[in-house]
Amino acid sequence: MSKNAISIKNLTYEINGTTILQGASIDIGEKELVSIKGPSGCGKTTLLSIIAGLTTPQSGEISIFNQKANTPHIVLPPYKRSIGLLFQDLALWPHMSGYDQLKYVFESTSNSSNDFERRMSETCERIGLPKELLEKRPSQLSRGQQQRLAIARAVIHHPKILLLDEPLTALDQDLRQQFATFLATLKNEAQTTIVIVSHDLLPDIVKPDHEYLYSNEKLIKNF
Amino acid sequence: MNISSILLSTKELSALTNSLTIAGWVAIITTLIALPLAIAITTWNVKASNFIRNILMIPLFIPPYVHALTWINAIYLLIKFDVAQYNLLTAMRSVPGSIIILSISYFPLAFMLISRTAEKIPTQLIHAARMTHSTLSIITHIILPLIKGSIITAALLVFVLAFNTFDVPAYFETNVFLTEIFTQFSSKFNTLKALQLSAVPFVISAGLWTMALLIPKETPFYTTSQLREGTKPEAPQVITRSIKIIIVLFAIIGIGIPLFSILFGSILFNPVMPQDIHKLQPVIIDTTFITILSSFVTVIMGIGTYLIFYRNKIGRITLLSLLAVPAMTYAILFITGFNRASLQWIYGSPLVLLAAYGLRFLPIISEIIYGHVQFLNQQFLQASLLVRPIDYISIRKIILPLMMPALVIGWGIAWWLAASELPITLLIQPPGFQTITSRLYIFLHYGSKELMNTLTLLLLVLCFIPIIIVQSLVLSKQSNVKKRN
Repeated sequence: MSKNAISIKNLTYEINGTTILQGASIDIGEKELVSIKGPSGCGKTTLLSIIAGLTTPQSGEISIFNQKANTPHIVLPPYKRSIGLLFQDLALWPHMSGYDQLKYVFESTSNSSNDFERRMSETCERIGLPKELLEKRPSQLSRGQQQRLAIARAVIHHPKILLLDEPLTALDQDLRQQFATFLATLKNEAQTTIVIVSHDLLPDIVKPDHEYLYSNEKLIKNF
Repeated sequence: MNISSILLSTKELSALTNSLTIAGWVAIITTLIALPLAIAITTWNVKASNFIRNILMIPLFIPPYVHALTWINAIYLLIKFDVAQYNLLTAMRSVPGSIIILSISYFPLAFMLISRTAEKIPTQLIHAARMTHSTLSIITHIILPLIKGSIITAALLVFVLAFNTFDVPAYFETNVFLTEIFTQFSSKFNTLKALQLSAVPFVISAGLWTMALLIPKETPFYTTSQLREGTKPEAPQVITRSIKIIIVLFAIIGIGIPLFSILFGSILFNPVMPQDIHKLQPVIIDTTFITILSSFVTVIMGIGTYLIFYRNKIGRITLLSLLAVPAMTYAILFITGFNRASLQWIYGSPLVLLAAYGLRFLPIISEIIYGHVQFLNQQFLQASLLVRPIDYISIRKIILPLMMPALVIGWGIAWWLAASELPITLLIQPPGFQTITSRLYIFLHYGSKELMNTLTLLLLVLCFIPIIIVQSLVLSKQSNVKKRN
C-alpha cells in the first residue's frame, strides 16, 4: 500500500467569524495528481496555504509523508515539507531577476550549485520560458511570462509535492498544452504529488487521479 | 504632595495653550497643503514630479531653529534696506511666527507620509474608476478613503513634533509648555514637577493616537499586481499651474530665505572664513561623529522595537505616544538614572547621547518601517519560507532588500534628527563634547554672533549629506536599470 503524501484529518479553519473549512478530511497518495474545485472564495487557496504550513488551522491534523506537520499547530516548518507552491498572485520578489529567484530557491534546498544551470535550462525549456527573460525583473515581464517564471520557481528545486493555485490563467492554448505535458512528466518521471486548484479545464493530456469538490465547508471526492 | 502641586498653574496653562495652538495649527496647515499636492502629483502625470518631490523635502533637512534664525536675519536685512518695518520683526516673534516656521519645517514630513501612501495605490484601481467617474469623484471616493490612515498619521506626527519643538518658540520669546518643564528642572530644581508636567503631552498624545488607530477600521491595502504600472493621465492646466505656484512659493520660503539669509548675511556681516572653520574643528568632529553613529544605532533600535513591540496596536500607540514626551524629559531621566559614579563611563561619554537619541527617535523609525510593511505583499516572505527558514541568507537576499526603502528613509531622518537635536544635547552632552546646534544656541543667547553664519552653514551641510547620498544611490540604481534594459 503506497503511503499518503498528504493526509488531512478533521481540518477546521475560521477567519473573522467565517468558517472556511469544517471537519475536512482528505488523503492524497504519493505521485497522485489531484484537482480541487469549488466556487470562488470558498477557501481553496487557504487550504493550499495550510498544507504548505503558511497558515495555522484552528483544529485538525496534517501529515506529510506520514510525518506530523500540523497538530493543528505547525510542527513541521514550511521549508522542511519539500513543497513547491505556485501562489495565485505569483509572489515574485520584485527586486530579483528571474535568474536570481530561481538560483535562490535552488540553492536553499541543498542542491548542488553545479547542477543549477542544467536544471534551470531544463525547467525553462519544459515550461516555455525563454532564458533571455531570466535577466529581467518581474515588473519587466508580461503576466504570462511572470506566471511561467513563478511556475519555474515552484518546481526548480525538485519538490516532492507541488501545489498549484490557478496555474493556467494568463497562459494561451499552446502554453497550456506545454504546461500540461510538463505536469505529466513531473508526475510520471519525477514522481511528484500534484494538487491543482483551477477553474480552467486541464488539457486532456493530463487527467487528475481524483477530483475534490468543495461543498458545505468540506471536500467531497468526486469519482 | 498636595493636589495643588499636580494641577497646572495659570502660567503653565497658558504655556500649554500656546503649545497646543502652535502644534494644532501646524498640523492643520501642513496637512491641508500636503494632501492636495500629494494627490495631484500621484494622480496625474506631472512634469518633473521627482524634482518637485526633492524640492519639497529640502526644508525638512534644514533644522527648524535654522529656519527661524534665517527668517529673522532676512527680516533684519529687509529693515536695513528699508524694505520692511520693525513691526514685522515683532510680528514674527510670536505664536503665529512659530506656526509659520514650524509649518515650513514639518510640511515635507506630512507630504512624504501622504504621498508615499498615495503612490502605492495601483494605477489600475484609478483606471477602473475612470471608466465611469470624474476625477473629483475618484479622489473623494477612491483615493481619500484609501489614504485616510496616512493623513491621520501625518497630522498626528506633525502635531507631536511641533508640540515638542521648543527652540523655535524660545527664540521667538513665546512661552510654551516645554519651556515650563525646562524651567522646573533647570531653574527651580524641581525634577518631580518637571516629570509630572511631562506626563501631560504624553496623555494628550496617547489619547489622540488611540482615537486615530483604534476607532476607525483600518483598511490596509497592498498591491498584488506586479505588472508594469499603467500611465497616468496628463494633468489639467489649472492643476499644473497651481502646483507650479505652490512649488515656487515653497521654494522661496523654505529654501530661498534660509539660503539668501546665510549667503547674503555672511557676505555683508559675518563672512564665513576658513580660520573660523578651523576654530570650530572639534565641534564639527563631535557633531559628525555622533550624527553618523546615532543614525545607524537608531535604525537598528527602531528595527528591534518594530519586531518586538510595534506589530500590535497597543505597542504602536504606546511608542507613538512616547514621541510626545518632551525631549528634555528623556534628558532628565538620563541624568537621574546615569549620573552616578558607577555609570560615569556612560554618563561622561558620548554613549549617553547615543542612547538618548536612540530612545527618543526610535518610534519614528518604527513607524516608517510599519508604514512600509503595510504595503508589502506578505507572500514575498512566505515564498521564501517554503525553501528556507528566516536566517542570515533570507534576511540578506529577501527581507533586507524589500525593507531597504524604509530603512534608507529612516536612516536619513535619524541622521537629520541627531544633527539638529538641541534639548537633550544641551542637558546631557558630556564635558568637552559639543555639537553645532548646542554651540549655536549658546552663541545666540550670549550675543556672540560672529561665528553664527559659519555654524549655520556647517549645520546645513551636515543635514544635507543624507539627501546627497540617497539621491546618488537612486541615480545609480536607475542607471543600472537602464543599462539592463
